[in-house]
Amino acid sequence: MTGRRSDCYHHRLMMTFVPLREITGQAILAGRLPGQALRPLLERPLSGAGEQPVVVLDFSGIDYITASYFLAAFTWLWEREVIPVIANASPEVREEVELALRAANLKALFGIVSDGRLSEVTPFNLEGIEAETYDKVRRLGTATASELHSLDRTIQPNAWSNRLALLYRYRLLRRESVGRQLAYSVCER
Amino acid sequence: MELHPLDRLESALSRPGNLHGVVSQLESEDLPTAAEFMGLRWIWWNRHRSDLLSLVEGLDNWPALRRLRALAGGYELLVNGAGIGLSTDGRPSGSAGLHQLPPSGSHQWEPGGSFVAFQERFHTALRQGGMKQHRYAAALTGALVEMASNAVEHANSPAAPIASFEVTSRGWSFGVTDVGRGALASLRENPAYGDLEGEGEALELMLKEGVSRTGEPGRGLGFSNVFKALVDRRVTLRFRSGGAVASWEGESPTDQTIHSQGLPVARQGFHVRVAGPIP
Repeated sequence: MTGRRSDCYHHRLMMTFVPLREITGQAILAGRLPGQALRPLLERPLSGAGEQPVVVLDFSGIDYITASYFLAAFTWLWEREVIPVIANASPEVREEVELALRAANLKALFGIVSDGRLSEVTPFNLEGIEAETYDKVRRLGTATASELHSLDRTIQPNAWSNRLALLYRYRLLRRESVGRQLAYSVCER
Repeated sequence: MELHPLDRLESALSRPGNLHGVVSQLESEDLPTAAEFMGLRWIWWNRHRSDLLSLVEGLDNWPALRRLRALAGGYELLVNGAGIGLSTDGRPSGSAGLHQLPPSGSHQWEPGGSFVAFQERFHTALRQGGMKQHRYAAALTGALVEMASNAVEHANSPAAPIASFEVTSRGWSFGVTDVGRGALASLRENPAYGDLEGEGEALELMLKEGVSRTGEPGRGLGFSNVFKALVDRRVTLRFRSGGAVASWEGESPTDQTIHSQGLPVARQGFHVRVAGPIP
């Protein structure tokens, strides 16, 4: 990657903004092999992005993407301890990304990024109690299993803990140790 | 389904009277078809150690073949069995292009690489050719890239696959040609399709969403991009694999009909060509 392209990545606190149009130089992202070729360009700057960074994939200026490209370029992010957020995707791009996510059975966050701020973050491919748990954490900003149990005692702390851990594994929530507990937070926090 | 002239060419060689009619039909063909013709020459050369072109040129239909030859001139060295002849794309003009596809892992696939430049040229040619619908031009470009990437990944082609396009006042076309193992041998690598026997059956299957050689989740989506790009458009598609060709009708990747048909003479490789008018 050129020095100029390295400069495209904007790190802000624990967020890394990845302006895809700028990095790829393209508005049309297609094909598995071009997608694979993008991966090393993303890996290097993310290696120094701190613990559990939120990686905001900014699709501004991307007119078209195929599922093959998306999966080849980005699914490795879900195997790392990062929170990927798909931002500023046009309806057409979002439709194809959703197809890719479903095919790979991945959950993801969609959002809007403007002036370096992430907003309107919503989970995709999340249903039932998983979606309810995410909503509870979103309302609180940060939550532990004990705190959720204190809000809803019909569910035992262990069950809350399992649900939160699952959302963390889906790469939808951040996690950090607070004393003897694990606190989970939404990525905008 | 009427057979394409290229699919009748080899069998027509045994009856020169038929050959005249077949070759004359090539006059109006485009660069993607020229690329497939050059692939046919490569196969013929490796099978018979003689040049198909010299056999065909013995008849008085030279103008048609001369046009094809001019369009795909960069393919010449490939035909001579010396490997790959294309070193640059851009033949013969800005509204047409041939590109020898790089192997997987090549820097040419990276942003700023030569394949990406070729992709951009197709998109630009569509726009400059009068395609006003930006999304349609983007979708067609994406479909070309999907087909190119597929060929490199799955064909096991002894010569590099070739991607091509041509945009004229009459319309646009793009294609990808390889001289590899074809759909049947490729799909059989997936244990789920190990029992497949016919090239036609394999070709029909390969065009369906989610069907792939690897069977991995998220694979086998490439052709659906082609079909999505073409919904409700007046386009023609040609798929050939080994000894079978297929046609496609439909309105979406999940509402489609694919018909295959055997060919008089089978030949290795896979070819896809998509063409349509400028809307």
